[in-house]
Amino acid sequence: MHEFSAAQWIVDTALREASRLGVREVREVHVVIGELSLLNVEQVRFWFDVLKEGSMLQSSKLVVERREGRVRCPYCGYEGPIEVVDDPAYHIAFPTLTCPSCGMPVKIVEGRDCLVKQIVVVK
Amino acid sequence: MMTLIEELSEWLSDAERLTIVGVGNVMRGDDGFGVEVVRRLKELGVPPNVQLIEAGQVPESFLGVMRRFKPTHILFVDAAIQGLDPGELRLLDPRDELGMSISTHKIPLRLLCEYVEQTIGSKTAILAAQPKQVGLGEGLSEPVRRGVEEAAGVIHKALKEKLGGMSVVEAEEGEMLDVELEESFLKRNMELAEMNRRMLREHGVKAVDILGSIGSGKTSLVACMVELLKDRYRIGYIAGDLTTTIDADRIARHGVPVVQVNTGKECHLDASLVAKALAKMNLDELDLIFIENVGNLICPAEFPLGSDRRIVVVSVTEGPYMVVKHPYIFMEADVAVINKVDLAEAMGVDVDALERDALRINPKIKVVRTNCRKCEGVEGVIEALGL
Repeated sequence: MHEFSAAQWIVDTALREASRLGVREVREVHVVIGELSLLNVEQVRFWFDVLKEGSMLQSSKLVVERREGRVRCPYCGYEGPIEVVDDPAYHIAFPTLTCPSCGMPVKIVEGRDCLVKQIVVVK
Repeated sequence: MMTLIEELSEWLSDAERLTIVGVGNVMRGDDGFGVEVVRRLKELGVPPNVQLIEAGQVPESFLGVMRRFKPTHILFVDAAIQGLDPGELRLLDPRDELGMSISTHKIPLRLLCEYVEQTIGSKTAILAAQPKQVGLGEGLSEPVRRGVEEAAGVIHKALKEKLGGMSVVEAEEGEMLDVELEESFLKRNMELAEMNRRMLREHGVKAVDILGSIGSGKTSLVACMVELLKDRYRIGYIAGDLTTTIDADRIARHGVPVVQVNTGKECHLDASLVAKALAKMNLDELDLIFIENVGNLICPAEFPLGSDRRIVVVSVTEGPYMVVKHPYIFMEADVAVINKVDLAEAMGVDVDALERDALRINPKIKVVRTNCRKCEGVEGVIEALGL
């Protein structure tokens, strides 16, 4: 639901890095969006395309890599993926946050964040 | 007494990588000093192991950029009232008495220095100039303009002596380059939240943020808490809303200072918006701040603001599934308020089940039932917050 701010941050991060390097244009922006990040990838793309207009990113492509969500259960020690409820009533997939092995609440260890990993630029 | 160049060279004696951050508002006369020095250095050119940042009024927004560069030393350049002649320069240790920063950036530089020393491990110093004029649109005064030239010249010379000599690999014109980054969306906000937390703690102010969906009763809850607590605490209120001031006006009627934050397109408050709101409050005259987020149970969970306690409000009129559908927000909260319990029967909602759902997601959460329209049960919320 905060795809706008996420996309704005992706664009700002790429532009800041590009201007620091003094490059001519940015061709690709690689991001990692975690499965548990509560971000809808299609909406991030939509905002990215709107926000890049008229900047060094104008002709750049957003390359999205998904990262699987992983949790750890403090009760039974389970570590691994978690079930995600993909209810069409929502525009994002919701994690259940209960341990698939014992049903107790779990801690997220991976897949909650959104990262800018790499940009491809033309000097 | 050592000259400025000697002091700077000594400070840089064990430097391997240096970040220079220009701080201040170029629209306000001599407050543009820091940024102008950085601009001048860009023209003069610096070795590749020196990073230049025009941070303006928001140096804290560049923490990620600084960390990635891994500087051994960070030099902040800023204007500060120190009782010197206009344009006079001093190299300051952030632990010393810094004089009064006139800068419009509100996170004190001393806090920022302490923070980067701890998190990035860089040594910090502040190069400050005494300003003469700081009015809007005044431009740099003559003595401070000379100060810019002097500062840039001294830094440039010290860099040549201490950090020069590294070879630069430059890409050919038109060549494609892959630039690796490891910037995290959530981490940036978390860093700013930590700055807010430090600033609040420094002023002895407790902050509580209130989350919940639209119409769950967040503002009513705040109004009740303000009434019950205003004799014991000096209270302030930050209202987050997309565009209106309805909530802010409601709480202002209770006689507490209020800052309205309109988020516009954003669906949540973030730490940077709260930092701006805190800058408008006189923290020395407050003990407790309530921060009411935008009505939303999803996004605010991802953006801590730097408060001590988090309350999440749900009401029975939102139906029986509000808790299970929004696990993140309950996972991160200290107190869950179930509001409008007087309507539970009419709504056919089982309040016990809502409470069980919250405790299943977060066994440490304190659940309190209220009817905020009549302030019933609000003492329980106050007790759960430890106020």
